[in-house]
Amino acid sequence: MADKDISANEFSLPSEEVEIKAELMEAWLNGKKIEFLTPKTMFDVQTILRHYKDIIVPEKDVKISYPEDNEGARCSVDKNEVFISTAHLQEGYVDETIGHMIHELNHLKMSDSERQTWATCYSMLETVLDSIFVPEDKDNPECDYLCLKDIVLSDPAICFESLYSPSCEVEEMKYGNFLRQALRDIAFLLNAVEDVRIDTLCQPNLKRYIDKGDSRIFSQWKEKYDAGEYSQNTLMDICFKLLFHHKGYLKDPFINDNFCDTNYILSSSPSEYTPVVLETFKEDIKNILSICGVGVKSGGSFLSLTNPCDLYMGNHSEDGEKILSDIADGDSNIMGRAKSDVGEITFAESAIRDFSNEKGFTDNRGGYAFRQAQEQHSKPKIVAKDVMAVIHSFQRIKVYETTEQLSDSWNEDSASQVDYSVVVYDAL
Amino acid sequence: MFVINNTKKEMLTTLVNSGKNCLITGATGAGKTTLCFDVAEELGMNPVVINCGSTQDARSSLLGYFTLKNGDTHFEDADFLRSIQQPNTLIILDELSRGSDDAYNIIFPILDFRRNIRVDEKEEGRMVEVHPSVRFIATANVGLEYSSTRSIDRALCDRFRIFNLEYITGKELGKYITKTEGGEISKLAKPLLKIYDYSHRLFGEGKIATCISTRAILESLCLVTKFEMRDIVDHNILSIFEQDSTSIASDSNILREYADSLGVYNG
Repeated sequence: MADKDISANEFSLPSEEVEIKAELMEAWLNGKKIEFLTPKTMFDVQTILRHYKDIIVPEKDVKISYPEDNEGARCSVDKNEVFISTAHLQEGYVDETIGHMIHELNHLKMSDSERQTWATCYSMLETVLDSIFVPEDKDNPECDYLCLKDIVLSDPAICFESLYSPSCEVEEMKYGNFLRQALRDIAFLLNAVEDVRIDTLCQPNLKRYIDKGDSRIFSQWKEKYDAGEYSQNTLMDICFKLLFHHKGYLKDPFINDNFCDTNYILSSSPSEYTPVVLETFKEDIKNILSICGVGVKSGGSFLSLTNPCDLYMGNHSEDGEKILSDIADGDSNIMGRAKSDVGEITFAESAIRDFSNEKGFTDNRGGYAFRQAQEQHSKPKIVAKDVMAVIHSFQRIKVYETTEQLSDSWNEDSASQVDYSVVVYDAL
Repeated sequence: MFVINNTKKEMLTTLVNSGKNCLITGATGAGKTTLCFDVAEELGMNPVVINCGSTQDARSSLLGYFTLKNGDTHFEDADFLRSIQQPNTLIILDELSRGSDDAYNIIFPILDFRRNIRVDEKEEGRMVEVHPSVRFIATANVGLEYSSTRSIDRALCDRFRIFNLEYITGKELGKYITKTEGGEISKLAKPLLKIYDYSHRLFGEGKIATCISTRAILESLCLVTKFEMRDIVDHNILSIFEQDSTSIASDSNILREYADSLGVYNG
């Protein structure tokens, strides 16, 4: 019997015949081969993949969805939800899709909540902004300087809650986009470290699926990187190098010099490594915010990306209201931990004046473009609900065979035996 | 083997000893019949097993049948009829839920206060009395997964005190295997015990249609030193599921998915 939490929009057809990459899965299909991604096969694969929650987080009630959007795999630790995009399956990457599932479920098992991560990032953001000063008049060296924090947090509608909640339209707020994107970038750094931790600590038999996907993604990234398509030394660039360095795909000198101890990552909890990571990369974080700060003061937007999605970290919960109310109701542990994570980090005050020659915020910067490239999947076709219902029904049919003895004699030895099969339609 | 709470076991033995009929329910392979023999041994009684699954012709199976003897037609008592007259006998009505209506009707008066049965086929002594020292204990599978079983008649159920034999956990089974088969076999059998536990968990949550029995695990132990674990799992343990859906998402593949996470299919 399969799970029941299957919504009608979670089904996709491959747009063309694709090569199926499912060697690891086929090893346990008892001789079955996945040759074509028919609608039934897609449905079955998605159904059986749901059971990884029973393997990895049996104690949690996890909702698994297969959205048709192109946002990759992501999860909400707060809401025990996992989203696995159908795009990868549609392209035939069955084993890698399993890897995504395992990775996201491990986030649920081992990682901090998003609100904790974002609260820490918010605290870090405030600290960094507090150390950056911007001239009131960039053409007048004698003018007064304003604290960037006072500028970008001047809108009374701006607060942690509004930045955290995706339903909140920060575009309408002054500097809202800037702040939300800054939070995402810092969170992405922490998430890169967390990905190293959870993937490396993943039990070896499941890690094979993650490794398979990582290997392919690294090859793609390296090819573009070597071709000079990504600018270097940006925060996003650091994130990807950190990830690939600690996963053993490359030996990056910068990471090697600054944050090389993989064993430390593996032996630490998020609450232990977070202050260390933020301290290590604080100048990189400040640098990126300083660059952006100029744009802010001169009225430009922080980023051209509106809502970049992650390969490794999901957008936070769409239903932020409950979480926000939890925080508003005095979940002081979260904010307390956030302050503690950042408490020891200090910055020298600095001013930014004219950064027109600064590089870094172009469309091909660091991993941003790579992340976008990963999401360039075509929109899958959607099967009609009634067709899916039929397929769904077929999946439920089970055949039981039984043998019963019918006696037609006083002598048991001569009793005749009749074999019959019963087809049971399981309507559950 | 079986696992039962000590108090429950003592209660069961006390009730049987005092002449109350008891019914032990539980999944297949949980050790229901073994427990019955254990009770018989503890009470110093002679166990006689009556397989209720083979009582479709109830009268001939339970009471007796006509046969030719020295050219004459002669009524031969069935084992059951003879046993209920033997002192100090514990009648084990095995697989009671597989019995027929006729069989139930025959045993009704035997199990209640009357403790007798009229056998019209007999030429003399038609009213057969159950010996005062005879006791009854029954076993039954419960649940929709047992396709040849029937729900037991309420009136029949009421003639028994019911005890449920709980699921033996993989850990308990592991201890038992270590004790009876040795540490090496127990170590080799670990993946089987984990798959066994997982099947019971998913079955309990209604995610698969049946679970792996304790008996299936115990009877597979002789294979673990000679065969690859993947072959034991595929060809022996999960063969019970092979008649289910041919879908990739079949119950057997759901368990294989888990076995893969244990490294059973590596290499």
